[in-house]
Amino acid sequence: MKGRISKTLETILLDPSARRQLREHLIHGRDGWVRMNGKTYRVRVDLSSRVKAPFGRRLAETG
Amino acid sequence: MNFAFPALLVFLLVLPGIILRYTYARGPWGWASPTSMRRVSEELAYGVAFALVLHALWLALVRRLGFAPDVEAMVLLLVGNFGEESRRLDRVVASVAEHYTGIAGYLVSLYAGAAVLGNLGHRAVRRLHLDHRTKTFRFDNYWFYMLTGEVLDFRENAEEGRTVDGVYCSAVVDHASGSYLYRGIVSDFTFDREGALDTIVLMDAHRRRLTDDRAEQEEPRPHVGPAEPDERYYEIRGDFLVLRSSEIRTLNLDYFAVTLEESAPAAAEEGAATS
Repeated sequence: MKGRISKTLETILLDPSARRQLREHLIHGRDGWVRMNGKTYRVRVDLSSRVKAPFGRRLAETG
Repeated sequence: MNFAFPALLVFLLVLPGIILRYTYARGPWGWASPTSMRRVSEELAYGVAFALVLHALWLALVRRLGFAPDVEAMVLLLVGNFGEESRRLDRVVASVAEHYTGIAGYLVSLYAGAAVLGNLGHRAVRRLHLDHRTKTFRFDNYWFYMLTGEVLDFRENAEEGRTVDGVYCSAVVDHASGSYLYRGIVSDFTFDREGALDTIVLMDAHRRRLTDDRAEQEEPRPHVGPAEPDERYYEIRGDFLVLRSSEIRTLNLDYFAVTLEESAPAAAEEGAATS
């Protein structure tokens, strides 16, 4: 599998309730928290706000 | 002399350069690594250039080891001109027949050396993150960098303490009944033979009709706090959803991080209490 899925994310995805919480944060593209087994995980979705587009032209061409 | 023989000889001589390029661009088997396949004409040009360098190095090496390659015979075979009444042909044929095992050993060892060199080059670039540091070493595979989130690791995008735990993909796909927005976490992706994106594999996939967009005057949800189910989406049963690149109309990627908090914030506690 070439996709980047960290161990923490993998753990969250294995728990149906935590996965649903994460999904809602991702759907709305906003930061939030996921509660699982008494632990709290912070979800940050705004990581790429300062990213330059290295392949902007090519990506635009692909539509 | 058969017309095809010089062409075959040229191919055998250029092959080390092509092998070097291929193994460097392809990377080790089983590695999640960017591959950058170019057009055949481009590969051939690179192959010729690299083959010249490799032959120069290998000739110097075998001479140091005590062997004396008959370069003149090789050039005559390439040119295909053996003088009046093919007087030099006997000498060339005799040289090839006499050193047949040496020639085969030279070529086979050069092919193996080129493959090892290309593989090591790829490993070195990836292990030392040279492709993140400079564009010179960046593989010509923008999809790999985008879909793995490595684009955030590039020096020009680097920001202190920022890590990517996952990539959230949103893709619009047209069906006969209308357009749908498919979303999920990128688990894998594949390329076709030409190196173009072929499929994207999503985990925890869900979808909604594109026409179910939220109206502009609708109240936005709170910035940070408890997550409430969005009734517009429904989960797609199954472990993985495969989206074919040719059917995707537009694609959006969000990079996100998930970190364990030592102390639960009040809003998170409130969310846990209400859910």
